[in-house]
Amino acid sequence: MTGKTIVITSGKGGVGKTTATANIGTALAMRGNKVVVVDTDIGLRNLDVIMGLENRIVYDVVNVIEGVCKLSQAMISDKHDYELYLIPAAQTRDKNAIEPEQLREMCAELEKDFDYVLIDCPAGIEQGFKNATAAAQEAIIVTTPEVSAIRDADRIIGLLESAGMHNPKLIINRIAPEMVKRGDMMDQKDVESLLAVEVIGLVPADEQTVVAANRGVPVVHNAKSPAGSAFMRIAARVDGEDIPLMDLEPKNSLLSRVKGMVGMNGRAYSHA
Amino acid sequence: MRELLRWLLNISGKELDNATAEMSKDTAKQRLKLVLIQDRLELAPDKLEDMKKEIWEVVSKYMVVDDDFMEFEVRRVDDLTVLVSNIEVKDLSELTPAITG
Repeated sequence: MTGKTIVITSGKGGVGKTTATANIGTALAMRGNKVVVVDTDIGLRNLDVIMGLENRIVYDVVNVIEGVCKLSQAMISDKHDYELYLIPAAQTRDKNAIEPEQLREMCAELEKDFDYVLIDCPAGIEQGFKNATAAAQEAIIVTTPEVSAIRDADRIIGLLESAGMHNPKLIINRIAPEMVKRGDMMDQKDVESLLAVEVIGLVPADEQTVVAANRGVPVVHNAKSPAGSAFMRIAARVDGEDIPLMDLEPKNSLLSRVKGMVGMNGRAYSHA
Repeated sequence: MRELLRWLLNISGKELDNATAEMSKDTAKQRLKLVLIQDRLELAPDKLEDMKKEIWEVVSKYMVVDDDFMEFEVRRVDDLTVLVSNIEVKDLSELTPAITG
């Protein structure tokens, strides 16, 4: 098997890299792929809690690279019955504990056994970013429709470009359709006109994503949720399926507004 | 009842806003356009303005160009960063003899 390594990155923190990694990884596994997700945010690990695997950690990525344990010993199997594994970050070390070539070697090893190796990249453009991007063949950039996140995404696109990684794909996360509709939030076209990259996914702001994080069960397990189905579609596109992007028209009927007012609205995106 | 009132007010307020003020996403886009040019060129805002002015001055020596209309765009084409400037030429017949001379 020759899988590929994809880095999930953003520049700005807090836009949903870890959530995207957990969900795309889970969804790819649900589709029948053999997947391993690697947390490279050394010192600030979080992919384990998003996936609900925090109590199972024995070894981490730094242990593997330093030869303290075997690669297979650091891989935590997901609770579900498909092929999904997590290699957690070290919590008590820093980004300088590993070198880009070491992570590349580790991922090359993983590519022999897995269809997809997903790397959760730390925020910023320093050592952690360099490590994570050097190990990957492809990149997915996560942004939100906000000036700061888009500006940072543009920096990342430039840095990836100069490192020889062309054609990164973009996920626009936390879109609030109601705000887009009234012109208070940039939409896909606006973002595309600013950043010349291909959009691979649109993810609506969804309360269920928060609920999923609380429970440690990625939101793709809730296929009916708007964010869950958005991430399923992204995984399908990553997996080579040619499907259209999600339609994010707000469900803005009078009935849903009235329901919203009386607190009956089960809709995910709140009236922000 | 209060909720209903607020909702009604909200609607009319929104329509008023739309009619009078620019949509905030357009402000965001405009601001981002400039910031991204600066970031991509690694150029300070005042330097960018200086450059713009100088380019305009050079071009206006040879042809009649619009005073206001000058656009800058920085694009990435593979490994290259490309600066594209659009200037509106008003009258080509008024080219100065400097060109032929």
